[in-house]
Amino acid sequence: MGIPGRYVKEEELKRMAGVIEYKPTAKYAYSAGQALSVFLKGLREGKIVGRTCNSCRRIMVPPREFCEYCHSPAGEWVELPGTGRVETASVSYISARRAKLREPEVVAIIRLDAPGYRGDEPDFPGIFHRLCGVTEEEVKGGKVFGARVRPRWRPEGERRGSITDIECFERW
Amino acid sequence: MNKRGSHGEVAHVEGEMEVEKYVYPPGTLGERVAEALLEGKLLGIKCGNDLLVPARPYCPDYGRGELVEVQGPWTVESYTIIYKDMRGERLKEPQVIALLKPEGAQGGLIHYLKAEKVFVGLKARPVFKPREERRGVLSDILYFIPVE
Repeated sequence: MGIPGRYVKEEELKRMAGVIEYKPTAKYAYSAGQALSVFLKGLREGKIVGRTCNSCRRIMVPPREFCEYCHSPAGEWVELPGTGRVETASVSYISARRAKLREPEVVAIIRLDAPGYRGDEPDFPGIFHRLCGVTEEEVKGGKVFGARVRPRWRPEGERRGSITDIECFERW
Repeated sequence: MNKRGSHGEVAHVEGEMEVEKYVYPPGTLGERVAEALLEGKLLGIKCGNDLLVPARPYCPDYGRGELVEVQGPWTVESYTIIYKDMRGERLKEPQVIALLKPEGAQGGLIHYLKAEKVFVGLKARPVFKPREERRGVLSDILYFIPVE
C-alpha cells in the first residue's frame, strides 16, 4: 500500500487541469488601539509620549493601556525629551523588502532619557530607529554604542502621525 | 475612518503585505473533478445513500465513497445581490450570487445566477464556457440559468 498521490513536474503543472494560480492582495488597515494612537498623535506634534505603570512605576514607550508585567492599568502620560543613548546598533544592507540598498543603513535601539531612570536598567523606555551621520565602521567597531542622540524630526507639515515623522536619530 | 477612543481619536495604519503568487495543484481527487469539469460535468461523492457536493476525498464516516456525476436540476437555496467585486470596485451591473443545491444532495455550490426573476426554490442548471476555454476549475461554469 502506497501513500496516495504522485510526484508532479513543474512542466506538467502547466498542462494539468484544475491548477489554480493566484497572487493574493493582502491589504490591511491596522487599528493602532487606544494608547498607541496617543503616541502617534504625539509624533505628529513632535513629541515622544510614554506612560507610567501605576504599580511598578516603569515608563512604557510606546505607551500601552496596561503594564504587561504587573497586569495593572497604566497611569499618567509622560512626555519624554526624546534624547537618549545608543543601546545597540546594526548595519543593514537590504531594505525591508530585501532589495539591496545603495547606501547601507544603520539601525539602533535608543535608550530614551526618562525621569526616574539612571540609564543602566535592563528594562527601559526605548525606540528602534535609524541613525544618521554614523558610518558602517563606527558601528562595526562598536564606537557608536553609548553615543548621545536626539531625534531629527521631519518638518511639521510633513508629519503624518507615524514613526517615520522622526527621520532618524542623530548625535549631538 | 477614525473613531473616538478613551484618549481621543483612534488611529489606524494602512498597508499591504507582500504575498507571493502560488500554484495550487488540485490533488488526486481534485484532478478527477477537474477533468470532469473539462467535460462539462460536475462531480459529487456518493456515501451510502447520500450525495455530497462538491466532491471530497472521504465520506464523513471515513469511507471511500464513489465519485458520481451530479445530474441536477439545481435548486436556489439562498441568494444575494452584489454591487462590488472582491477588491471593492463597483461592478458594471449588479450580480446575483446563489447557493445552489442539486436534487437529493447535501451541500451545494455558490455561483453566479442569471435569471429574470430570482427566488428561493428556482430550478437552475450550469452554463459552461466553450470546451477550449475550460481549465478544470469552477469558473469553467459561467453562471447558472433557470431550467426551462
